[in-house]
Amino acid sequence: MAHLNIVSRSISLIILIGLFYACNYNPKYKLPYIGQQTQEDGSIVEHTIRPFQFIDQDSNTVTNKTFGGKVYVTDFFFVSCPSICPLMTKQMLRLYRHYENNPNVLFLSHTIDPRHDTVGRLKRYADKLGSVSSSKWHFVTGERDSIYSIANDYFIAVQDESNNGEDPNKLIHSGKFMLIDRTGHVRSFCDGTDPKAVDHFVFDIDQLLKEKENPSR
Amino acid sequence: MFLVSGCREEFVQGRRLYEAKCAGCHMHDGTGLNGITPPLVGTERSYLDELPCIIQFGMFDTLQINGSTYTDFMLGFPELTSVEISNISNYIAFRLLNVKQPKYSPVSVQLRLDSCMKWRKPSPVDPKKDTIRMFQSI
Ligand code: HEC
Repeated sequence: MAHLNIVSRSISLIILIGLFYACNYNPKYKLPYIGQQTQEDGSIVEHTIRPFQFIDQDSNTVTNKTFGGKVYVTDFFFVSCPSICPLMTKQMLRLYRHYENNPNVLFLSHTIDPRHDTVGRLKRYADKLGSVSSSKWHFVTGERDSIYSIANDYFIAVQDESNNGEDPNKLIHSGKFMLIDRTGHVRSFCDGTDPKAVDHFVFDIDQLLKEKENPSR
Repeated sequence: MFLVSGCREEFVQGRRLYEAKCAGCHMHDGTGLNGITPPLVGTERSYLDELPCIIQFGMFDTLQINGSTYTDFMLGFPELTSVEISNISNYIAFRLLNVKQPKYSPVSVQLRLDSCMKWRKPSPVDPKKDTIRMFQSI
């Protein structure tokens, strides 16, 4: 009898352990942390987006706190862009519509042409896309140097050879969409000009949404 | 055999040029970006007569398409030859729009370009001077 008891106990223990692991995230599907780790006070710190402050299409100040506790997708573009921006905006709009009713997903599009892309111009651009809420999708402008330097944090290549913005063909930027988690870490990215890549990106966003608010690492 | 593959290949340059020069704004499938760059497919408008001239000289109108207004302009592509323009136009007509119409030939395109040179009002922007920017109205 005692013998059987031990067997059933160990079986339930195994089931318990199994349940414990099943309830935790499955590491196989965990999105990686992108970027260089650093050591701080003996613990490892993942690459984190530095604090920023920009102004959106409704003249509201947007900072990293605006996105605290939310997952967000970000890109860099400009209104007069003669090349890939409409492609990107169209895919971003598709993501926006997909997560329109999910308050945990936000969008952030930075202009790399702040000289011309004023708040009013960004507003008109956003309005033309049709019913885009400025509290969900922020089109931001700000100081040129701040924008170009935050692009580095997002691993977005941007280059301004435009001679003070005169030649829009020489404002160069990558068409990537970056996915940032609730605590400011870069977790995934995709080619924002490729609808198929964006389809896969949706899986990543969904996966990130499943992570707990403060993922224990 | 060569003829067959030659026929199948006929829109290749047109597609390549379309993807390189047009798709960024009008999308690969021609659906455009609502309010910003007009769709080339699924519209009531017939721009096919003007198409070679739009490509070469650009467009500076206000368009009403499927309930959206397009107030921006499109710079022309002066560097394209009549052969290239006929290839792009054929790609748009036969692949994107699926219309049954006589094909554009380099000669017919050149004739159209010559004639619209005459009636076109001068373009409000000089594409050589990059000081005036696209999407000005936004
Ligand atoms: C920089 C973005 C951009 C590029 C690149 C571009 N277009 Fe356009 N296109 C526009 C805009 C904006 C309009 C609307 C112009 C207006 O309202 O006057 C337009 C209008 C048109 C129209 C008129 C549609 C209609 O219904 O009358 C056609 C046709 C067209 N473009 C074809 C092309 C082709 C072909 C190419 C490539 C050779 C091309 N476009 C490249 C932005 C662009």
